[in-house]
Amino acid sequence: MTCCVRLIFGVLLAGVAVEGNGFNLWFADVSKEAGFAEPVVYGGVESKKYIIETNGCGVAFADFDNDGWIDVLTLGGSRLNRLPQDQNPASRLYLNRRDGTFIDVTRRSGLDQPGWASGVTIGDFDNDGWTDIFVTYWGQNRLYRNQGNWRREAPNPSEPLFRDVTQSAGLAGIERRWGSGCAFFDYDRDGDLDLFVANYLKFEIEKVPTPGNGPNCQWKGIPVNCGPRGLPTDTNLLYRNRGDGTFEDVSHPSGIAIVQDRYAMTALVTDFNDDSWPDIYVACDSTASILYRNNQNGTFTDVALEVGVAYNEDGQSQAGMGVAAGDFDGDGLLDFFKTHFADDLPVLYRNTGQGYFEDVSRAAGFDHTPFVQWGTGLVDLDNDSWPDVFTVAGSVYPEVEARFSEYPHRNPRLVYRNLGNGRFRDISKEVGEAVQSRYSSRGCAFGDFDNDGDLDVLIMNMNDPPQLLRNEHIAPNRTGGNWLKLRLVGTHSNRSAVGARVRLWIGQRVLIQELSSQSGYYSHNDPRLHFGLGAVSLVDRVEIRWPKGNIQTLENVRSNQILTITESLK
Amino acid sequence: MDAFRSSEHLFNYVVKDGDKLNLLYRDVNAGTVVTKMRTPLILPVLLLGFLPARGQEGPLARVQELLQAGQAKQALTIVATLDPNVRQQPLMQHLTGLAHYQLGDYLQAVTFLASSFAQAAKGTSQRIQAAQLVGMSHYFLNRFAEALPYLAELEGSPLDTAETQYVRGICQLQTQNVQEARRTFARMFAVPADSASSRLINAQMMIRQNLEELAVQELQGALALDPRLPQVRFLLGELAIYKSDLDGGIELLKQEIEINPGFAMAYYRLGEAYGRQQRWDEAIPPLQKSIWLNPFFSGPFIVLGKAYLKKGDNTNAENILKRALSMDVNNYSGHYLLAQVYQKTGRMEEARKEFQTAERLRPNSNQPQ
Repeated sequence: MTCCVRLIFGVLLAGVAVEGNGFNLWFADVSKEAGFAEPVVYGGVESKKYIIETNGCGVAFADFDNDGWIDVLTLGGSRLNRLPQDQNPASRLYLNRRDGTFIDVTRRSGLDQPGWASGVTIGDFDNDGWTDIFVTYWGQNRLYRNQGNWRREAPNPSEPLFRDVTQSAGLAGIERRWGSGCAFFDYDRDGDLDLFVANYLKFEIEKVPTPGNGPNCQWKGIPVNCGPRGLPTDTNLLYRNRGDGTFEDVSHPSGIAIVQDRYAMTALVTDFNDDSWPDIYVACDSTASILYRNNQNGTFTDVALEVGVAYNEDGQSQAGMGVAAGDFDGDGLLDFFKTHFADDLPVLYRNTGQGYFEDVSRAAGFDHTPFVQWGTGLVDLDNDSWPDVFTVAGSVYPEVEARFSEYPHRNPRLVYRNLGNGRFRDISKEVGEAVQSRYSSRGCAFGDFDNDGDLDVLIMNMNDPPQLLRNEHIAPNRTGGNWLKLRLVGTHSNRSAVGARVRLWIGQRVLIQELSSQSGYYSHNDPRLHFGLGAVSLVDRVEIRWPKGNIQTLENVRSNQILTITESLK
Repeated sequence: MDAFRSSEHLFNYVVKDGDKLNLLYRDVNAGTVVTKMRTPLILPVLLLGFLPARGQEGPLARVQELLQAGQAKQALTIVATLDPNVRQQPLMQHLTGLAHYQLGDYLQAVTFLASSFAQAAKGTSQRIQAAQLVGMSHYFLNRFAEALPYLAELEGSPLDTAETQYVRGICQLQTQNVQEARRTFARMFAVPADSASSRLINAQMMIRQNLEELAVQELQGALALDPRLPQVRFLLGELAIYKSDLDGGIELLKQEIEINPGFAMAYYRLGEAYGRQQRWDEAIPPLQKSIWLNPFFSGPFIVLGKAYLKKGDNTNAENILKRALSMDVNNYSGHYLLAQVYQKTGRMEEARKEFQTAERLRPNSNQPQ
């Protein structure tokens, strides 16, 4: 099938692919051909009265129908002036047709409830073999259980593909909160997925001043929507999976709710200290970011300050939006990359391996930009085995650009090539017009929708259709780096293998990745771990540390394949 | 009466506003002058000559006494018990507004004092004071355009002070009225209205208000009028660095040093700019020069400590940072960097304590100071 797909793309791309940027990378905007026409409605278009209209939402790549091809979920928002019922925007589900196009199955999906969605996490919470969805909202967060009736011959083909089980799962909240980041993970390593939910702030529209009418409602002399400063903070939540389809709120006994006074956004679960227990890093807006260290006994402690990931190198707080993990310097340790507000720089925290991180942003080549940066990935875009950086941006103050053109509402994307020496180079203008196209973007996800061996990008554009950027690193008549893609299936551990850590040995180098259920900005990447291998055609060894801590190894694995590895206790 | 708890409020507001979004200064380490002067910004608005003399009987006098004693809540309690006709009297409305102003309830203050302003005859003390307080209230509410007509009323009056001029100038800047602001600040600083100097001062104020783009234009105007005016290139250099034009910023700072060789801040920013380029060896000499020119400012000590930390010279980093902290004990960036030195040298417990100290000193920290 891959070869057929390539042939089709070859026709579409005639005369588009360009070599010679030294990066051997090119992105083509294939959104229209792929079938993404519906805009993601989110608040006002040219002005934003309240902060609820500004933050936007995430997107997801995941294989919901288990056909080996990743599908697309885009979240949606609303408008302050209510739309007619039949025009109510919602999340949208697109199934991969395996030919470079997608079919919109939203009406049948059961996901079409309106609301202000924020973040998404994806995983098989009931270990039934079908991938489920959890979405945070301003209001009631929702857990959607995958019903598994995807085949035409399914017993009830007219039944929704997903069922809202929020109430029966014990996740229905009493008060109206503004859920933000969220992540499935198995914090107690009992083999099922628990759930972390961040809350951004307490937002009651009638209590928030209008633009210009408060101390945090002005930017560069222009009245703008107020906040987050000045608005009340909230606390975060942890739900333990009881293993019977229900969850128990353990936010207080676990210590998660102890951390206060933060505007929590994206949640990234990763084992930062390599003790085999998953920790949680939460990017926080305008306040110190949180690193919940798993104490291995059901409790967590925020250690961000002493570990060096709460602030920048001078100890100053930044407006954390999106966050990604990856080993940028090839030392076998996972580092963090976090995006921030305009006139600031993103932060790259290098894991020293001695229990703390150091801010190496400037040394790595990052500097201030006029863009508010959101979704991001520390991913290998050119299969050279070094993770690069891709970031999307968009202003929260559309009103400002009329006065100051240097702060445009719609922004280009930013691509930084990892030079393999600890430094990155901005190559945004060298990788195609699609990257330079301007949108007010928020979430983005990375995955290989055409199974051709390179990472494509899905982007949420506020009040515009989502964008699918196809990576042309591997394309007809082009030679790309080798790669290996691993699909992990847990048996003893949670079936989605969230939290699994994979190491690859290629010659003198060790590549490392971990399977997480949320990253970037409120988004979910293709759960198949993608490793660029450069010129290496045979991987010496693959080591999987499954979420329960057991290790499995494979040797002499050939490149350029999608390999499914099922957890084995042998 | 402590009518001017609000003056403290003003001071805090200005500082807070600067902290909020003034990222221009975020690259530095919040260095502060050791011999810092705690400037009491007193607003002399006690123009209550139009009110009954103290000691007289009656609710008006009682309310006035309470306000003068700083007991605004009690004053409002008395007002609430009064007959509606008494409450509607212009002077009582004025005092009610004043009480709300003292309590920081600026919306209510505007309601009562605007009424007092409208009813008072032009040029009277009552009208002038009402104008000042309504203008200030609007300012605190970020209603800059609404504040301006009231603040304009103060011109030439006893309340036309440096502080009200400052607030007026800020309101003019926030409403993008650059020329009016320039005139206001020129009067405040006693420089010619349409000079290079007035542009320099206006640009400084613009930077404090996060209006960097306007500041660049204003500074270029100053440069055109007087190419050798000190500090113009310094500010342009800072703004270039803020916009990530590090090479351009460094060049401007070097030009500033050529015409203003004793200006410690220029060396400090130059060292810091080299640091942003990771040119730590080049950063150290200008930072040292800055310290030798002005040993009472902790900023260059802290950046110098950071330079040694980045170079892996942990001994010098520790010594310099400790020296900086002995001068400026509440500098959270200094403590944060020192914690990193301890971390790098394996003194984890000392690092933890320094991190906690930094956290406690952080602005807006919820931990006890």
